[in-house]
Amino acid sequence: MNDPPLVLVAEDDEDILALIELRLVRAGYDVVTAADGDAAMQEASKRRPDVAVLDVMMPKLDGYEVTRRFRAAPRTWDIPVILVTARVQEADVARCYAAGANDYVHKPFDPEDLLARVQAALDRTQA
Amino acid sequence: MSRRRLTPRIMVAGGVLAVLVSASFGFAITAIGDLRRSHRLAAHSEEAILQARRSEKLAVDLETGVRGFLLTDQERFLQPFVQGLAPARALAAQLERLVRDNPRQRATAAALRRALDSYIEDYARPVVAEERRTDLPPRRDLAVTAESKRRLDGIRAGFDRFVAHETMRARARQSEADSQADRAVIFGWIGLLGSILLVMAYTAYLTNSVLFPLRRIAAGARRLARGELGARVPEQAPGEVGELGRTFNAMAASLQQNRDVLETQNAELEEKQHELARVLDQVATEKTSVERLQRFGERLAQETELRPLAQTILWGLCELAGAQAGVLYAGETGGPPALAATRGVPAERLPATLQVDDGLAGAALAERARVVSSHGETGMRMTAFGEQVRLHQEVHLPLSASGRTVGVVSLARVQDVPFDPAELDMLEHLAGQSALAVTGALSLEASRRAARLNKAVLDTASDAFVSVSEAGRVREWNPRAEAIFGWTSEEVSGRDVTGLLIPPRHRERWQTAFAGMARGGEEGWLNRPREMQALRRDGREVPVELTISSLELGGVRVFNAFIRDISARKRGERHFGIQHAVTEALAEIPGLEEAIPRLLEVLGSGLDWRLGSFWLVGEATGELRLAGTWHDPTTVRAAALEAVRRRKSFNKGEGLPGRVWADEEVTWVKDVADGDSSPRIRAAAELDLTTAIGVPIRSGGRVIAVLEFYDRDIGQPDESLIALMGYISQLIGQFVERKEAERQAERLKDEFFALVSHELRTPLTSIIGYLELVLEDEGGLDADQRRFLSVVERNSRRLLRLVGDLLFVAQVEAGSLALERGSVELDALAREAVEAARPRAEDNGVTLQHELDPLPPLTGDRDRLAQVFDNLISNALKFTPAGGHVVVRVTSAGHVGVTEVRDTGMGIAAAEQERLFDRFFRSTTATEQAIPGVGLGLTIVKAVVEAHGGTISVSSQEGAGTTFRIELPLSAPADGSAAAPGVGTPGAAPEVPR
Repeated sequence: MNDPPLVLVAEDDEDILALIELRLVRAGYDVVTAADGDAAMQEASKRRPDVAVLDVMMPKLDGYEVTRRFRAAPRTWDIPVILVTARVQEADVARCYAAGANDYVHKPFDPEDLLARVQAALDRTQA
Repeated sequence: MSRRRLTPRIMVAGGVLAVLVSASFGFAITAIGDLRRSHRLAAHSEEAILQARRSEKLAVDLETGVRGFLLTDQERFLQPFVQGLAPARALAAQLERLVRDNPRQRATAAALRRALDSYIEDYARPVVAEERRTDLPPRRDLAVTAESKRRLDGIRAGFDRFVAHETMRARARQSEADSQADRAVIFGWIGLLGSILLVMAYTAYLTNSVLFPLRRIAAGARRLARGELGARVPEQAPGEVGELGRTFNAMAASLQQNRDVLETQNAELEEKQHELARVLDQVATEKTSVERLQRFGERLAQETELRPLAQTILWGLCELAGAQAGVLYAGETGGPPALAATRGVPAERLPATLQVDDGLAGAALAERARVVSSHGETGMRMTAFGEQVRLHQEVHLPLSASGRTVGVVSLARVQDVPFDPAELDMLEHLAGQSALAVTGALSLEASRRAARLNKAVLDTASDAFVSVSEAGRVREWNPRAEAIFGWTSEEVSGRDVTGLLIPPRHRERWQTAFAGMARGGEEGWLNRPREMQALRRDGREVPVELTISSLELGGVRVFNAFIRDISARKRGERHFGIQHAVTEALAEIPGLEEAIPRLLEVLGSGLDWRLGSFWLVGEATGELRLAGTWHDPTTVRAAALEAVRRRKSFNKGEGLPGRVWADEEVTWVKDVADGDSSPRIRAAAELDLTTAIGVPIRSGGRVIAVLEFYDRDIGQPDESLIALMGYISQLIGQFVERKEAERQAERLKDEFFALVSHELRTPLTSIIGYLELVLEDEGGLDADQRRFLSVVERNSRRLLRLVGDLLFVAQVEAGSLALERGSVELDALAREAVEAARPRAEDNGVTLQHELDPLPPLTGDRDRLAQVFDNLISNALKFTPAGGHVVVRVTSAGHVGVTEVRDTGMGIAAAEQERLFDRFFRSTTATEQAIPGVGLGLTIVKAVVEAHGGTISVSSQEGAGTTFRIELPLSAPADGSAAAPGVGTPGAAPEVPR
């Protein structure tokens, strides 16, 4: 059996971070967490994730910036990114995609929905 | 005695007399005739004798001549012969003639003539001839002469016989003559005496018969002639004379009779004559009076001014009435008459106007009838020669014409002689005439006043007034027209208005229209304002608004026009248009940079300038940067602009833009080349752009941009232009500030949203997330715990929803709604919503049903549309009491999916239906019945529906129920036709990239 896909989750709220991690683990994914943008970059360089779930509002580097950096680096440019955001305005949505994210969910999220999107992102890369 | 008897008698007597006298004279004449004849005969004989003697003598001469010649042989002695030859013959012949009545004597005379001839021819001539030839000897001569003598003696003898006989005859004739003379004398005497007698008898007869009677008649006639018509004459005269006498008598009698008759008639005639004279006098008097009236009328007609007219009237009436004093009041009806003329009384003592109750004159005015007063009741007095004289008789006459009373005239006389009715009637009649004249004068004054007013109005009118004849010639031209067009009234009078005021390109059209108007047509040109360009004297055009009207004055048509110089208005309109265009240009533009080209175009073309530049102050660079240029393509070639556009920046104070930046005020440059020889300016000058204007744009207290325009002739800016520039500058400045504020607000809003979104949702995420975890764990909880936690979860979700609704509504307000785009099946959604609400419905005792047709999918936000259903069903359940029904229907109608949620609930009052979809609106029913809710549900429903391009409507009846109807466009219509346009949602998220 293959290794389970690695999901990088970056979220500054501990509770939500734990929640997402729990959901993903329960769904059978491997999860690595980061509490801010810098940590996310570090983790990504340590071990390349198969998909990243990034909170948009984080200290140090926000989710957009991390996405942009991913896209800018050859190693990480094709990692699917799902942004988690509490901001739901059109401009915010546009910003997500402009930054290079593949998808987004908004808080509070339906755990099924999140899982489905993660899976979809993984399916796409493997397709 | 018969009539004719005398005449025959006289005639007969006269005839007889005549006969006798004639006979006597006849005899006498005869006798005298005889006498004369005899006398003549005697004389004749005497004559013959004489002739004979002469002849004889001549014959002697002849002989003598011959003899002499013969004897002397000298021609001169022959002279008597020669000379007497012809006469002798002639005489002889004559002699013969003389006595031809007597044969004897004639024979004698003839013989004598023959003898003479013979002497001459037979003897004398031959002898003489012979003598001449031969000169005969003397003997011969003697013989010859003796022959001659013998012959001559013979002749002489003959003559003697002749003479003797003739003498005897003569004597006889003479004696006869004498006797005849005697006879004649006798007859004469007889006749004479007889005649005398007869004449005397005749005369006596006549005298008696005729003369005396005639004399008597003549005497009678003389007496008659003297007038004694009783003269008569005796009538017993014979014949006609008697007749004459009788006739005379008759005539005299007749004359007498006639005289009597004539006398009678004469008397009658005299009477008639007297009467005629009386009548003539009367006529003369009337004529005089008519003349006076006529004079009065003429004098009236001559005056047209009120005062002189009043004077004339008063004077005339006083004269005609024999009044020494008088007063005349006259004025317009509607007001009391004013004092117009006085005579004999001082004006100062009289009231200026006549009131209706003011004395006798006032009474006359009030009653419109004449008022007469005698014996000086009013005690009016006039001053004459320094004394106060009492006026005894007065009359006050109203001046009335055509039913209007225009005044009163009062006349008074000193003599105490009342006015007689005839006088009064005449005065009244004249008063009527005067009233007409006064009315005329008043009208004249009134029309003069009106004309003055008119003129004043036209003179001071703020519009130009031009009046032209039918042919287009100027008749009136008021001062404002002079000011606007630059022509004086004298210069344009009579000139063709088309040539003066209409620009050449329009002249033809105007002339056609004008001709049409003159004919009575072209109604559309009249009585409505027209805008047009008019020509000034200096050749420039001025925009005007004119209204033409047509008027007929005394049969002549004129056209009047009020003309207004609307250049200020036009300028104002243009400026307003520019302001409006600028406002428009700035309306939908996110930022100033995008607006610059349009701004330049609006200003440049609106103000007719050729080249414009927009300079932005770069805060970072500390320079003015060229942000945009514009030029008028018809007058400025793009290529030529390059030199001007080459310069892209200015420092503060440098060049026109820099100066405007530094000085911070509108700068007008009359000649750009003056003091500036930069390449840019030189290039501009080459393009004939020698005037310029620069406008600073201020925002937030400092200059942020500079507008710069160039043209051939930018006139010195007037107030209007400066105001416009100021306003534009303000607009742009405000725009920039607004945009800035918007951005600021946007930022703040975004931050707020972000905050709210984030800060509210983050803990909720955790709450709900962990609750879900716990509840998912099947065995970890007992029933109570599970129930409790469910309550917690439910309320957390409710809280989350509320936050979401609030944010949703806020987004809708901000216009930044973000919707998902997915494929949604309405019927499925409806089914789910119904099923989700079923427990609640059962709890409330309300039947909940659905009628769902399968629909093709539409593109939209599934969650939001689900929310729509949930909200509507929730409301229906909230407001329907137990026992009621709620039905959810989904069908299609062409391109549109129709959803209806019908309930039999409390219904909504008509007044509240309008506000149903407002934020936080709760119906009174809801409040009264404390039905839970915040008032956002329908707001969100409406926003979502409309964001999907659909419509929502409500129909409700209080106490009966409510139906909400939603129409949403489908991506593919149910009947398979092409997708309706506009499907999809504005502001939807873009497709997820693959």
